Amino acid sequence: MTHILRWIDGIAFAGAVTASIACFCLAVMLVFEVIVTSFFEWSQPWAVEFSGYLLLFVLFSGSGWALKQGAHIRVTALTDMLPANWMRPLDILCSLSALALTAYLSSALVEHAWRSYGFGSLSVFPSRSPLWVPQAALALSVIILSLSLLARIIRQFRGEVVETPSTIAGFNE
Amino acid sequence: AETKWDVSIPWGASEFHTKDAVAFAAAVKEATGGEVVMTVHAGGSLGVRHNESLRAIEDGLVAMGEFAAFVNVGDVPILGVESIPFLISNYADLRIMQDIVRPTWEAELMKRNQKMLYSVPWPSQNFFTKKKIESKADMKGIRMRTYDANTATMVSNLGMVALQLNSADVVPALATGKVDAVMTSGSTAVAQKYWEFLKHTYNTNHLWASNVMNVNLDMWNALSPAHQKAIEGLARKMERDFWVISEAEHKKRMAQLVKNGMTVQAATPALKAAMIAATVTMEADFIKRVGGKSAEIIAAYRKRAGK
Amino acid sequence: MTAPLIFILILLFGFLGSSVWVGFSLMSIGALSLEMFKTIRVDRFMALDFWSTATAFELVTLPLFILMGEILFQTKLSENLFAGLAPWVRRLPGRLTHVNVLGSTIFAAVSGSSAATTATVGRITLPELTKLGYNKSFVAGALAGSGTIGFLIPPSIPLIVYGVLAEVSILKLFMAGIIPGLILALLFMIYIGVRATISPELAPSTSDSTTMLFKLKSLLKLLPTFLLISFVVGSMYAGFASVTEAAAIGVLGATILAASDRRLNVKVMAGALMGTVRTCSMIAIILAGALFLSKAMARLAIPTDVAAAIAGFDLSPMALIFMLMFFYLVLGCFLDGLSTIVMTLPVTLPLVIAAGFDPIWFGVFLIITIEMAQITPPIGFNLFVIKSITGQKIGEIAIAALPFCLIMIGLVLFLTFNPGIVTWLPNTMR
Ligand code: NA
Ligand code: NA
Repeated sequence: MTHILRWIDGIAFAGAVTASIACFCLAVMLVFEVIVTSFFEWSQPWAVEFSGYLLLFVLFSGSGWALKQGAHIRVTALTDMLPANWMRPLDILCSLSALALTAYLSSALVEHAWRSYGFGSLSVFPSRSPLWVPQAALALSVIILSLSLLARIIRQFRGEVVETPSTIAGFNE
Repeated sequence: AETKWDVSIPWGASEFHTKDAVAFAAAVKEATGGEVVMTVHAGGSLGVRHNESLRAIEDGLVAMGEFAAFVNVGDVPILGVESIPFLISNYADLRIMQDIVRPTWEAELMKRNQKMLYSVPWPSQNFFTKKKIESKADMKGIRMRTYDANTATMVSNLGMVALQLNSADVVPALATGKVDAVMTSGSTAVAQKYWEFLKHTYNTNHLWASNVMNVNLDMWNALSPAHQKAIEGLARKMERDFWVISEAEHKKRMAQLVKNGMTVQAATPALKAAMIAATVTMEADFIKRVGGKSAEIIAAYRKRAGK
Repeated sequence: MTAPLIFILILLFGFLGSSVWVGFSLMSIGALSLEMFKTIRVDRFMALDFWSTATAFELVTLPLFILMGEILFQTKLSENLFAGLAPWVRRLPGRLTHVNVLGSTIFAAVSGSSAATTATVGRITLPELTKLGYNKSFVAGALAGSGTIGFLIPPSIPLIVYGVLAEVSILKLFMAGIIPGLILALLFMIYIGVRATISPELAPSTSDSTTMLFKLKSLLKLLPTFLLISFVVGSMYAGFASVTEAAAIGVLGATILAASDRRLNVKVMAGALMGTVRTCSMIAIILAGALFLSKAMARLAIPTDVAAAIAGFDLSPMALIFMLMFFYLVLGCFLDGLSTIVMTLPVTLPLVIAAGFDPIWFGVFLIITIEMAQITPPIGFNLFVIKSITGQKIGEIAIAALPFCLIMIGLVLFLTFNPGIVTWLPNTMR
C-alpha cells in the first residue's frame, strides 16, 4: 500500500513539474511574441491558441500536488468548534465527497475528449490541431487530482499525515 | 402541453441577429397559439460561449442557439464554404450558394443532433485601418488582427502581420497601437466604436459569414407535426426578411461610420487584385481538406452563379 | 425560483460549513442543483464548462503575474522598496501600510484582474511588512481592499466585458473608471491613516534617521521598482505588448532584476514556478467551481428571476439603484463577479437605462459592486489569495477587509448622487 501511495505522490509531483514547465513556456512564448511582432514583422500563428492549452496545464495539472501541499482552500470556521474526535471522520467524509466530484468530472472530461476524437474536432486556429489532445490532458489532470484524493483517504484510514505542512518562503510560523 | 425553449445568443440585445431571433420567437408563439414559447437569452447570459454552441445544442444543454458557421469549421468543415475568399460577391450569389449547400449543412448538423432552422449572413466584410491602404505596398508590415486559419493565411500572404489576439485584448491593443487594423462587418465596427481608434474603412467584401439558428433534434422531434410544419414555414419565410435586414445593415452602419469621421470606400482595384492573388489557392485547399461533396457543391455554385 | 434558491443555499451552508474544499463544494452544488431541477446532461455541461474555463484567454495573465511576484520575492526589490520609502512615511499615520494601496493602484495600470494584482503586490508587501512588525490583519485587510482597484483602473477585463455587452465605448468606460479608482485609493489611505492614528501599534515606526541626505539616498533604493514598473507599463502603453503579453513582460522584468541582484539560478526559478503552480491550482479549482455554479444558477434562472422581480417593484430611480446594489452585493458573496454581470445584464441594463442612468455610469457602478464581491465571504477571491500567502483564516481576513467593503458601498452611494464624477472625464473626449 505504501508503494501505491508513493506512486501517486510521484505522479502528482510530475503533474506539478509539467505545470511549472508549461508556465515557463507560456512566459517565454509571449515574450517572444512581443519581440517578433514589435521588431520583426512576424507573429507566431500559434501564440493565442497555445497560450490557452499551456494555461490548462498551469491551472490544473499540479492540482493533485497542491492538495498534498495543503494549498486548496476550505472554510474551517464551523468545524473548528467541533470536538476533536469528530475531526477525523468529518475529514474523511470531506475527502470522499471531493473524490466523488472529481471522479464524476474525470469521467465527464474523458468522454468530452473521446467524443472530440470521434468527431475529429479541430481547432479553428491556423494550426487546426486536434482538440482531443489538450482535452485529454485536462482529463488526465483531473484524474491525477482524483488519485491524490484517493491517496489522502487511504492515509486518513491508516492514520498517517495527509498534508506536508504548507510553508511559503517568508512565512514560517 | 406548452413547450418552453431557451435560445442562447452570444451577441448583445441590440445586435440585429438578436432582434431577428426575438421576432422569430414572437412569430412562433403566435403561430402555435402560445404552445411553443422560445425565450431569447442575449449576450451569452445562459453561460454558453459562442464556440461551444454547437456542442451545447447537440447535447441539449440549451434547446436552441445561434452561432456563426465559420466558428465551427473544426467540427463541421463544410460550414466554411462561404468563407472561401472571393468565391461569393453579393447576396444573390450567397443565396445561390446557400440553396446548393443547405441540404449538406442540414445533413451534417443532423449528425450532430441538431436541426437547422434558418441562416442569416453578417453584412459585407471590411478592412478597418489607421493608415490608407491602396496598394499591396501600403500593406507591408501592417499588424492586422485575424481570427481564424483562412484570414491569417490571407493577411500573411498580403505582406501584413497576422496577429492572433484574444477578443478581450483587441480594444486595448487598438488604443495603444499594438494592432493597426482589423477586419469585420460594419455591425461589429459600430458596436465597438472603431472610430475611436481607426480612420479608414475599405469594403473588401472578401468573404461571407453566416449565422445558423439550430434546435436540438430530440426536442424538435418531440413537437407535434403541425407545430413542426408551422415553425419550418415561419423559418423559411422570415429568413428572407432577415436577409433584407442584413443587407440594409451594411449601408446603415457605413453611414454611421462616416458620421463619426471615418472614411468609407470600396477596395481599390490594385488592393482587390492583390487580395485575390493572395487567396487564389484557398478554394483548392478547401476542397482538398474538406473532401466529401465540397468539390461538387462549389462546381454547382460556379455553374449556376455564372463564375 | 424559490425552491432551487433555497436548495442551493442549504447545500452551500452544508458543504462549506463541513469544510469541504471551496472549489469542490461549488462544483458539487452546481451539479446537484441541476440534477435536481433540470433535465439536462449535467456531466456534459460540466465538461464543456470546465474545458472553457481551463483555456479561458482572460485567465492567461493570472499565472504570469503570480510568477512575476514569486520571482520578485527572491530579489531585493521588496526590501529596497520599503527601506527606500520608510524615511518618507515616518510621520504619515499608517506608514508603510499605504504601500499596499499605492502598489495596487500602480499595478492596476497593467493588470486587468484583481486576483493577479492582489497576488503580485501581496507577495512583495505582506511578508516584508509582517517582518517589520506591522499588524498582519491590518495589512492583509488593506491589501484585500486595495487589490480590487485593479478592476477600475484600465485595463480591466470586467469593463471590457461590460462594454461589449452594453455596446458602450470601452475607451470611455476605461476613462470613467480612473477617477473613481483614484478616489477609492485615496479613501482607503484616509481610512488606514485614521485607523493607525487610533491604534498606533498597528503600524510601528521602521525608520529613525530623518536627515534630508538620508532621505535622498534612500530614494535610490526605489530605482529598481521604478524601472520595473516603467518597463511593464511602457511595454503596453507604447504598443509593444498586448494586455496579456504585458504580464509576460512583467516576468521578464522580474527575471532581469533577479539576475542583476545575482539571485537568479535554476533553484530560484524552479521554486518560483512551483510556488506559482501552487497558487494557481488553488485559485483555478475555486474559479472553475464558482463559474460552474454561476452557470447552473443562470440555467435555473435564479438571477434573472430576482432581477425581474426587482423590475416588477416599479421603484423610483434611486430606490432601484439601492436595490440593485444590495442585489449585486448578495450575489457577489457567492458568485464570481464577472459572471454575475453576464448573467444579469440583459435584465438590469434596460431597467437602469429606462430609469435615466447613463450606461457608462452604470458600468462603473457594476465594477465597484463586483470589486466588493472579491472581498465578501464566503467566496471572495482576494481573501483566498491572501490566505494562500499568509496562511490566515478566511474569516480573519474578511473581517479585516470589511471596512474597505463599507468604503466601497459609501463610494457607490456618493457616485449615485454625483454621477458627474464618473461621466466627466469620458465626456471630455472629442
Ligand atoms: Na487594471
Ligand atoms: Na464574495
